[in-house]
Amino acid sequence: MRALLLSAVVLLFTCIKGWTQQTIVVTGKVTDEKGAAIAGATITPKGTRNATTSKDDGTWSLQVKPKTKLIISYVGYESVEIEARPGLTIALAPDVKSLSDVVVTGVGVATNRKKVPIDVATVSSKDFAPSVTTNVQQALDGQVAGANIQQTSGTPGAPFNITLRGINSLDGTQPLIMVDGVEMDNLNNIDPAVVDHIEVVKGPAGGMLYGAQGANGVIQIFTKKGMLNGKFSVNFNSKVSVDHILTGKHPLISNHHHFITDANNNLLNASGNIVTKDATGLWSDPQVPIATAPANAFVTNDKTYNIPTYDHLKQGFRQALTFTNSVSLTGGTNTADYAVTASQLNQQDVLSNAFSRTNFTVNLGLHPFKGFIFRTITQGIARYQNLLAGNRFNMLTDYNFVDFTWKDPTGHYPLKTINSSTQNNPLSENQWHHQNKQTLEIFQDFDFNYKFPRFVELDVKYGLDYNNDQGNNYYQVQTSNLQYAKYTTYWGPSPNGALLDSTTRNFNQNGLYSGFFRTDWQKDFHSNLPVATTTEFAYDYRKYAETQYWAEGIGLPAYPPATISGATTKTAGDYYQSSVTYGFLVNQTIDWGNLFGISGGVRSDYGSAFGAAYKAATFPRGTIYFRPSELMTAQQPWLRDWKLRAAYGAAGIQPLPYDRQITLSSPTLGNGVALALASQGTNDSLKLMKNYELEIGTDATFSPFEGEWLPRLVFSGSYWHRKSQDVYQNAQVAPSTGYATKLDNLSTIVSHGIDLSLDASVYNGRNISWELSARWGYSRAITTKIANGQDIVNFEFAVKQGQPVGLFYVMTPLHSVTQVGADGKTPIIPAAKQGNYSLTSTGDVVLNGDNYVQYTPSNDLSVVGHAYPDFTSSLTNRFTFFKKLFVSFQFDWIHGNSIYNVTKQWLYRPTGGTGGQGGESRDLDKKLTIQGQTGSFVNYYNSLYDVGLAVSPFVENGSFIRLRDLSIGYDLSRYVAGSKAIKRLTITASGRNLLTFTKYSGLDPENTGAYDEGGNDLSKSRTGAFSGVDFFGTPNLRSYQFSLNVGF
Amino acid sequence: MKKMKKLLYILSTTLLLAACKKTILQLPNPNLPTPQSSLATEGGVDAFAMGIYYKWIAFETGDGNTNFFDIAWYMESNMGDEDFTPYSNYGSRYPMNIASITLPAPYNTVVTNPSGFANNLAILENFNSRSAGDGNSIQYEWDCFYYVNAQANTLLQALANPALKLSGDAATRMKLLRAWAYYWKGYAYSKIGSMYLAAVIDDSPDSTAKGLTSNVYVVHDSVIGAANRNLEQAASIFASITENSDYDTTFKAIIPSFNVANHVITPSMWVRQIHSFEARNYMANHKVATMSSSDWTTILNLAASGMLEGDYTLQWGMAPAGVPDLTQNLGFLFHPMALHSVSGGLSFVSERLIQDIQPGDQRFTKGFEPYPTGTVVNVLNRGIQFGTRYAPVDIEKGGLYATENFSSAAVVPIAPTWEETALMTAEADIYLGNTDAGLQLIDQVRASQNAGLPPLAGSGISQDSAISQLHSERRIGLYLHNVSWYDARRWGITAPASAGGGRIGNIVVPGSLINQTAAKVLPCFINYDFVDYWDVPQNELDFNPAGAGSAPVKN
Repeated sequence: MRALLLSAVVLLFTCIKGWTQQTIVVTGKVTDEKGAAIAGATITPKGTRNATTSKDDGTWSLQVKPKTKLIISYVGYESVEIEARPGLTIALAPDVKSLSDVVVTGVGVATNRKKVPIDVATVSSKDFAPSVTTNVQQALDGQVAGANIQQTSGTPGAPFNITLRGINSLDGTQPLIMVDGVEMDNLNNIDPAVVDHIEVVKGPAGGMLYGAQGANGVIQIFTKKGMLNGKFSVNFNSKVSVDHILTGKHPLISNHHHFITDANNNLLNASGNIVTKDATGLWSDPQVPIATAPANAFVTNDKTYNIPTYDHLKQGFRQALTFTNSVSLTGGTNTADYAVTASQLNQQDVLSNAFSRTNFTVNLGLHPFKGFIFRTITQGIARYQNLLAGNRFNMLTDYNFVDFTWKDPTGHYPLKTINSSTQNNPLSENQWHHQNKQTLEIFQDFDFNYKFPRFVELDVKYGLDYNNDQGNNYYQVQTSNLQYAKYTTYWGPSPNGALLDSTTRNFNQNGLYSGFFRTDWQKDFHSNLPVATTTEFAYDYRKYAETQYWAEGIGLPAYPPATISGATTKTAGDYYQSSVTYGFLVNQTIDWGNLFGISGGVRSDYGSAFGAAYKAATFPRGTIYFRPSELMTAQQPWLRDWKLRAAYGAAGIQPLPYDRQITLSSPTLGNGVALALASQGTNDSLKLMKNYELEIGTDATFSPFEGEWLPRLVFSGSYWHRKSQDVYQNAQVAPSTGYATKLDNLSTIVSHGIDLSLDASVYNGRNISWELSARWGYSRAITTKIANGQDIVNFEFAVKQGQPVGLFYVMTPLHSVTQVGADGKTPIIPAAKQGNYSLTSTGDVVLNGDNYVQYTPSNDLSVVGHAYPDFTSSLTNRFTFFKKLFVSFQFDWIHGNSIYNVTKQWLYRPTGGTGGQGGESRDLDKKLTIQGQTGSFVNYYNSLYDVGLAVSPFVENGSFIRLRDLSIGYDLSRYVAGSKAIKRLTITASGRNLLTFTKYSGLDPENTGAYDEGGNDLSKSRTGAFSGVDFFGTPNLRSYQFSLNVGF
Repeated sequence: MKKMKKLLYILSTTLLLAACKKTILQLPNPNLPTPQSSLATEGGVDAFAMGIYYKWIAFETGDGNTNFFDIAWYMESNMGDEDFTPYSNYGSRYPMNIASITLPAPYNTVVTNPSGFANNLAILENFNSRSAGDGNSIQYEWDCFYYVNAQANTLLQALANPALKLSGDAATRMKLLRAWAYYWKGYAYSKIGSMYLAAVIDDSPDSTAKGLTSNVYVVHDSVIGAANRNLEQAASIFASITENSDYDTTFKAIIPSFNVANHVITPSMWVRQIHSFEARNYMANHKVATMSSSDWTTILNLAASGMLEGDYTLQWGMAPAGVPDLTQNLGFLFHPMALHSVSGGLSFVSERLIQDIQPGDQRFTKGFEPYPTGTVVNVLNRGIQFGTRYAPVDIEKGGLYATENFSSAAVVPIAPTWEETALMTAEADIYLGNTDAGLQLIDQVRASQNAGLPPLAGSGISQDSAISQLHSERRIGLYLHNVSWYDARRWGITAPASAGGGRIGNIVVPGSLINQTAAKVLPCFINYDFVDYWDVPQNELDFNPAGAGSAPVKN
């Protein structure tokens, strides 16, 4: 049939030829590298807009002038340029890196990747791991060398820590997020289904174009877009995911105890009675042997319970289901292209309730006249959730014999299960507290682009990001609760009920006006020199505005409905914030053919939040690239492309909008409002923090072998060196000045690292293909200058001059009774008393009287690890069998970081007795030898908790290798081949986070934040503390997923 | 199409020009006033005067804003052994690191502190570093009162601004505001000088505005000297004021409503309170064992011009729902009457307080009940001093000393009261040999608090018995008046046993210590061994090292 068709076309071609010499009809076929038809490839006669696309069988035909050059392109494949001739069967080679031909981010103007002088990582949606379900951060995980993307919690909608190339500042690593050229506030809200590809620029060398906001790098999302004359196609994707929390390999909780029991092994309370619960579900505390009594120094944790015990993690966390559905429509006419995507995520929380998000995106491009494109991209996002924060603390620290699922006669869970703790039963909250949060976000991007016939291109982008968050928290009247009557316990601010409403509106605008002046000397000036120049002028304007209102009613009416108006006490408040920044950019690029190019530019930014609102911050940049392969390709067919590049650039990190303004705080006091000096001083001469980066790298494409093995290998590597100056810091000051801290630009951080990526087509046979991607990024950030020469300390975290950021700087147990102190000569234990101490089999010094571990004093701390990894890496393998069966897996490997395990330290806390809680670490079952005796000695373990400070035994190796994704897909298209409606049908089964290899003893090495011993969040304290502390969080999820993809 | 192009050019040019002006960068914080704009107005200085209270709330890295005043308060209550706080939050338990407790015969067991630190100086010094973060117990009182001092210095500077115009009887209003500032400076130095070995005297607003502060640390007696100077300055201004409606208006504007604003403290009440304050400062910083009759006479004289029954003092109360009353932070209710309530659960009533109440005292009957969830024993295995059979009854349930629900009756005095004045006089009287005069004052205080105890005056009890009654009355009559630590120190109770310190006190002894299954209350010998004056906190010294001529800053 095909042959017949082809012959017919050839015949036709011959006829036409006979009639006219003006145009010819060319036909052909587009296939992939193995000869399979590619439908939807674009065939464009060079210099015209008269494109066509290939049909389902890959064939196409086009009427062109003779000798016209045709450009044949298809997403994910390398474009081919060839002179038009009949019967043109073109096999496109896959672009192994799955890169777009051009990049935009960090270079200002769409630039052919071959000429890009900086390290821009591109991640196509095709490369997203099949198990990516909820957000874009998951999709980026492991795809970008040097990007550490840490999902710190399995709670739906929880934020991610994104660090591009290590630590730049003491107050965060959040990169600039852009969508289709303009800034967007919240990456969390974007559904992966709307994404076409993502570009990541990791630092100021590329981020300089973004001036005062670019120092932490840029992540730019490009939404799906249709094609001129594109075929109308519909793609439907549906996925279900079954999620459980990760529970690690090591059980956390001991199932033994050391409580005082009677002859029948019953637990006894302080009054000598058998431990029992009262009518409200509150248990009395079992008695514990007194730690300090010499007779009890060797109490062991080896008794078994004679009453049932429960796994509280199982009682608290459940299996959750997540559903995602998306449908996208793409296509185009000869003057317009369009893509419409609608998607919905419904995600149950493993702890309680649910989260949902609906995204609707329209990307419409109008091409009304030659050279002009008007593009409008609209994203509407609606989020709803009724999640409660939950409390894993009590799941682990309550007595094993407490049954969380027990209900009192009124059907309520007891709020308080043990009298010694102020922690509450996590299941109880849902019965009294209801939270609802709704978010509506409208993100609109207009882009006008006009390319004059020669020299000049003008581009105007305007984006607005409107975000409206509404939430309420409703606490029921709880005076009827049995436990309220007896123990005055209640959820929320009052037993009489409370209702809190809040609305936050963000309205951010970003305008970008660019003009480009281009010359091509050969074409424009008939010069012999292959010189092309681009001059870019740009003006960038950003305005951020936030408005917040809240109201609270306490003491709700005894009858519905619950309203703030009906409450006995009402309070309300408001907050407004806005900031403006604008900047000018001039950038000049000169290319010598494809051989080399240089560029240089400067950007000046003004901002309301820095430089006293009138002084500009100026950022220089320069780049250079050289492509030796241009000179040697002919002789070296194995080296298809080789580029050397270097870039230097500066960019900034903005302070908070009002950090430079000195104001008084104005708290409500009783019926009045007071004014007071702020506790944390601001600074009217605050400068913009600047970061300077030098990046040197190379990109190369090899074709080592001609055959099926290793036909293609793409390597990219960069070395970078950065210096952050005027780093913001809430520096501690002498309290006698009246302030706790004062904000200032005091420190300098110098960092360097290497990013490597490798994409290989390992085997490309007729029926089997194997592709491999590897990513590796090393970084190290050193604080070279520190405020006042004084260490910055923040519980377990410290910043010390000359040392890496994110140190764990803690007390260590003495390892010898003669150990000397900080002065290097005085024994910590006076010589006369050393006989009272001995060394345990674990190598720690204990006091003989009570077996308590002895520590260095708090003025003699040691660095025992750091919170941020030395390197992050990933390895992805993709196999295709018979073009139908797809198997892929991705491993992520994070290495060299430590975790401070506060959760474990709490589980070493003395249990039983008043205030003693109940859960204790499984470690307490471990035996050790002290003073010649061997056993699981409770005092030894308890004393490791009880020092009240951060100590080294809880600093653990946080390195891990995780099987991030394992997927098997099958293309069922051939079973529906007869159907007119369905064109493609694929089913995929995948698993996420199925395996973790780690020495870390907690539930999940990724589930860390920046917390002190009490769980207070340190991440906003501007002390370089961002993650690395395990504090009772909700671990990440192990998910099993099934998805269906249908193309119409 | 051409039209469209034109439109595009015009649009982009207009937008570009409109968005280039530097004036668009002027975005003052619309939420908060600046010192320049607000402190030049009467409403602003009034609010700033009230804001002295808000300096109780301060930022602690990691914890955010926390009520330092209350933390300092309950640590003193702990060292005074009227309440105890066994938890490590804010280093709460370290000041009450009792060195050893000896069980009575036949056990005679000596129980040393499970912390492993020989005494509270050792543990407080161990945690006196910035690395200890919020676990450095001794930073709270220091920080809080220097913040108060800085606010008062800045207030005085604002009041000196010629641009400031006050309304009505401007002179009276100005005097009240100035006296208020000096009073609070005196208050701050009183607290610091009664607690720390040495401190800096800083009366310049530049210390706040420019970050400059004195680096000359003076010995604590000199700090008390500075306290008394500021208090005298306030008293002399108050003495020159005649109360009128402008005085009342300003007074109500500068005192938070939960401090019982309807009770206007008149200028003469202020003067009397300041004299009581000076008497307290003197008494708190002298040990009874070494006091001469001239010391007692000094106290007698100051107290004689001190507070009278019916005089109002400054009080700390609670507002409905607690939101605007300095009590709510981080899930704790920061108020002396809330933290030790049953649901507050951070602090507990000391067995020794209960033990010191006279049998039949209605304040015990009404004020305390058996702990509802059972006897509290050796909390967290941190020491047997951390045990009690009692809980304070909530005011809502007819009690006197606790609340769980923002009772408007939950008020504690934060400055001397007439009861304290009367008992200072009584103590001086008894030591000077006028026992019966002293007993009369004790009776007066008991009657005012409805103790229901038989009168002591005329009973002919010995001086020793009278002193014992006085101690008992100061314990319960001034419970939660923030003086128990001063009493314990000056009575010699917290001195090391080797120096004659310690006492016989009730301890809830866990059963396992006495070979029984149930805990039992036994009279034990308690060797507190608390240091008299704390070291200067390291968070000050790190940024303000002691300069030449400084007094020792560490024990």
